[in-house]
Amino acid sequence: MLGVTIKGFVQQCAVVTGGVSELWVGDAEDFDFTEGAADADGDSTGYASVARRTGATAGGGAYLYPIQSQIETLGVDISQANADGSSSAYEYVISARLLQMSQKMTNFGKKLDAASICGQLVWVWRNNDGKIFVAGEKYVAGAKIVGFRFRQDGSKTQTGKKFTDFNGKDLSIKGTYLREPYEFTGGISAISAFVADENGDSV
Amino acid sequence: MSQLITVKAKYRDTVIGFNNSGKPLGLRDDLHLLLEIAKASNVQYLLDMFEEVPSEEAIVEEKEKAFIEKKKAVKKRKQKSPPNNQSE
Repeated sequence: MLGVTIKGFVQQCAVVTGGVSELWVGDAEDFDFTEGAADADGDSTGYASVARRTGATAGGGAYLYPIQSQIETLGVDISQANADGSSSAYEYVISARLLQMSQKMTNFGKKLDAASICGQLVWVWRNNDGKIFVAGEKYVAGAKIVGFRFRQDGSKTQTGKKFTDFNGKDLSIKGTYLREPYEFTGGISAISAFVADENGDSV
Repeated sequence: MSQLITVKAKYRDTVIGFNNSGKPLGLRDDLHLLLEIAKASNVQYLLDMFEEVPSEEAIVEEKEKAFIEKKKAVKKRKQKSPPNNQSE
């Protein structure tokens, strides 16, 4: 290829499965991801490992925390745009449906709002096909990458009006980045080692 | 396996998620894979965790040993439990 390096897209010979099974959030400051060896074409193969950064400890709460959502309501939408012929911008929307309005729900919203101002959140999810993806990571191979920040935007909390109405929060987390998310190829057990419940207990 | 590739004593309790496991490094028998990841991305803090970074040949030898051990284990398992369609 004399001009550009391009290869086609080869689909995997497997049944296509939609949806997100699990979603976790953590402090992006706490984690460092490392890419695996590039493939034969020199292209990225995604993240192969994850580690806590120096100073981030389990005792200090450096975990990924699950966001429990009504069944079949977790999802990630990514829209690409390049109106001015510059870099593509990928607009992420992470959505979930949290059940039952409560003080815990209010506290969770407050924490998300505060974190979008004073920090950065890393989001990890596992699709129903088993693939794991990372967005909002801050450190890769020990170095800080270009800002990849998310904030709560567009969430809607409602009580409903009758018994059968939904009561809770449609969570909406938005962010924009230069690319789509990297896959984490280290496997679910590698991620599980960093997952805790809201009390900081391993799950 | 991985007698050749070890981490420094102070990192034995460190947890790094890779190869579908999050066990502390002192309990891992797949450190050669972490070493490969560290080398591929030239991640100094990961490389510093190892006692000494063995040569490429030594890592390949380690991988071959692991492969042979795995094959032997599979063969042994198969010998213990004959297939269901065996007539005798």
